[in-house]
Amino acid sequence: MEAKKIIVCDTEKCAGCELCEYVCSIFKEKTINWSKSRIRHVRIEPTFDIAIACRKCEEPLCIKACPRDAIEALDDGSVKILKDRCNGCGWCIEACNFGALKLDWDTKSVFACDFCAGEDGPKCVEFCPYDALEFTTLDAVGHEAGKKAFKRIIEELE
Amino acid sequence: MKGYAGKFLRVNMTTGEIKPDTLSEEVARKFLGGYGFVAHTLYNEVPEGTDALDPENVLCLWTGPVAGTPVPVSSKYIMGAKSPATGFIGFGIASGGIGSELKAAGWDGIVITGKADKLKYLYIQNGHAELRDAGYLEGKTTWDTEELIREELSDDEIRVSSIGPAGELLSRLANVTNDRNRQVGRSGIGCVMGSKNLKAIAVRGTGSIEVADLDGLLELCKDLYKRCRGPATEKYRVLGTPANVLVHNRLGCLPTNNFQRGTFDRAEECSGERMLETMVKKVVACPSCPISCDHVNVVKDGPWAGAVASVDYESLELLGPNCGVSDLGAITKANQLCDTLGIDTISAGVTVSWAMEAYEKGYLTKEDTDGLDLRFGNAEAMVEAVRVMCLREGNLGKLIADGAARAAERLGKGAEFAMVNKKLEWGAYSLRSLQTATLGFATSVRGACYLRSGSYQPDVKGTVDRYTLDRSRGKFVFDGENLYAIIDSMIICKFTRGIYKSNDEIASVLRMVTGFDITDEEMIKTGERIHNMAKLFNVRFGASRKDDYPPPRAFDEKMYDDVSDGAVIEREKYDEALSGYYEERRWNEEGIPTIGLLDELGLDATLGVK
Amino acid sequence: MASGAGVVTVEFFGPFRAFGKGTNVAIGGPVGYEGLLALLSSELGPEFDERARRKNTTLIVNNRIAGRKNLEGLLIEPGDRVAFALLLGGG
Repeated sequence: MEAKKIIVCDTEKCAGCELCEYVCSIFKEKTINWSKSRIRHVRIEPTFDIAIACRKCEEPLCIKACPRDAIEALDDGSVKILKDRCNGCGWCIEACNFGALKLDWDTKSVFACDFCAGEDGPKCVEFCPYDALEFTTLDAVGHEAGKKAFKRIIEELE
Repeated sequence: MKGYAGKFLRVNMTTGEIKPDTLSEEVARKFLGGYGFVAHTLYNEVPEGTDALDPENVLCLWTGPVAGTPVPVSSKYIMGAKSPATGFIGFGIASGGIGSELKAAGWDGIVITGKADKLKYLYIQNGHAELRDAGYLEGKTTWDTEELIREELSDDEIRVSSIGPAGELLSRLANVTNDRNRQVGRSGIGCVMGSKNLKAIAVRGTGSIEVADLDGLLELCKDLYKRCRGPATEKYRVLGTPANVLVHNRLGCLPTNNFQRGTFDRAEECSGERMLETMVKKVVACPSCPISCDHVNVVKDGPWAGAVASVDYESLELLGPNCGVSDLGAITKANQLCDTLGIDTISAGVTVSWAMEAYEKGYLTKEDTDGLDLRFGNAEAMVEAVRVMCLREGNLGKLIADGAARAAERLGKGAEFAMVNKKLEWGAYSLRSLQTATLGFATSVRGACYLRSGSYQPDVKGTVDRYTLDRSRGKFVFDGENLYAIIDSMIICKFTRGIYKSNDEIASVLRMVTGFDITDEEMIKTGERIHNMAKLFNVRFGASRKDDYPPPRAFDEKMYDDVSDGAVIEREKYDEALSGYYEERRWNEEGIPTIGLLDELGLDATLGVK
Repeated sequence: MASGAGVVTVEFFGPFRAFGKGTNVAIGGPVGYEGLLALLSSELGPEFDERARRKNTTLIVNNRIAGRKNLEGLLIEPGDRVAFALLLGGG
């Protein structure tokens, strides 16, 4: 089975520019409207920044919460909203631990990141000026962190 | 018209009435947005004889056509009014989330008149706008105000611009803060808000923003973002503007001890290099910014442990070396007090340094300073002086709350070392060892700053001899002002000016956003028109040649300094340079625009001269 | 030392502090900008040369800013104080 890739944000590099939100809405909605961005920037004052989108949870709480079975899990781990079943009740928004779902004020149905399926990879990752976003697996993230820690230990020993 | 929302709000604080008004395409084409709209609104709507604190003063907030687009550093807004500090055109430009949010809410701007009977705040949510009770926010800092409004309205994404207690107490130096680290800093806009009983403006927008050529714009933006990470912006990203401290010190143009000297013996201790090493927690960005210049200090130990502030060069310099202070903890604390209690850091630093010189000369006693030993270099005294200034507290606070010029008036002496132009405090650029800068500062329509012209550039690039002036210097100021008027009207951040290959590339951004078929020459002409519009406001309220001079120290005292020893501005050379600037501008010898020029620019020529 | 020889005091600011706070270089007589760069690079490595040649570098000689256009004819004399920094301004 292919490992799931999600959008990972390096919180040290993320400066809170929110351009990921502009770009997402432009590609997904064909207009500039960051309230419809699938990825969301969160700042915890004074200096903590992260941009977060759907985490492709192993046991998606949003799917469990939906009373109308309007959310489906796809093979790659992302979720698909069945718009004709969704009535915008928002239980999935409450259930998600990461704020990864949003309500579209116009269509009254929810939406979540589809990782720019059908494109060359997520557009937010492509445009992030700080290289803070990466489309990668959690295994790779863990591996990189381990490598970084060991490199530092080796440098200090030398 | 694309880019623009095409409408703005009119708010009458006296009656509580709020209604929409249309932004005409003619005004948009002639004045572009931002600064252009402020100049146009104030010239046409502030009645004759209005004082800055009268309810009839017009307070306006404008965005430009690029706000809300992915153009780098475009989430900007400007607030303007007749200034309580200068009596001339007052305004300040800030970034953060307000500019883009207001555009997303469907408004280009807000024009506010009148005065409410009690403290209110304006809440705009898309097409809905109302004045809400702000009694519970009275006396609150700007940071607390933002949090409390978000709590009250159960919405963490609301953007808030607010005044602190200094604005409520009508300090003529009061600023407006949004997104914690960003300020409409100078010329007392916070005071005008306070005079209208307007505590805050809160905005939430979820609409779409349309531009003429989204694909073309995004393609250019992708490249612009890359350029924003390159050498053109390196200085802002790494050390930030505090990098200027050691270099200005090296050049003998670091204002020290109320602009008496140009070098500071403890410059290393408060340098940008030291700040990055010891105090900067992170460098953050404003919405839409790929550069990231916001150096957020968190003081870890010492008497000011816990102080948090975004510290830039001028704040650092004027609260620091200009007060003889090298303690970065104290400087950060004073900066935070200014941002939260609501006073402009530049005016605060130069007012405190005035008080320090007055104290050292014996003009102020310990009774006048409420016991503070207000000598140059006393960090605790500097911080306390800033605090009481913000709160109008005690003898000292009451004396200095409205700036150095008014403090000297109140005291009856010390006017000769109040470092002001048009009664607004001078920025952190040495008078006598950066003389083209001085010409730009003194002729600035807002008073005492380079933001209208970037006039320090020929001095620091070595293009001219910075220790003297001649008739040709006016051209630098003229060219700078016309381009900067466009930057301040689009509105984009001046830190992005270096990423554009040409003026035509900037014009192409305007074309792709608005759909206006504007060339780079037409764009610069528009800048000239906007600048003259702002100047006409000043002329209407009595400005003339007499208001375009630096403070007396520039002429009357030679610098006693390690590097710039003996530097002084020769009065005849300054007059020659000033006349040269007016000539370049096609104004008369009094600095009044000529009728021919005003007709050419399509402006009201009533106040023009032959 | 031969007459006409002496020392140039060099200071580093901003990113140039990666090479320390400064150094002294002995010169046999007046040198041009290229000559100075060669002397400094031999001491500090080719990374210094690369950094100095970037477009945003500013050179200060005594109390003058030597703009990019003035570098060609520039002569640095024994006893001069030279500083390397980034292009200035803003606040």
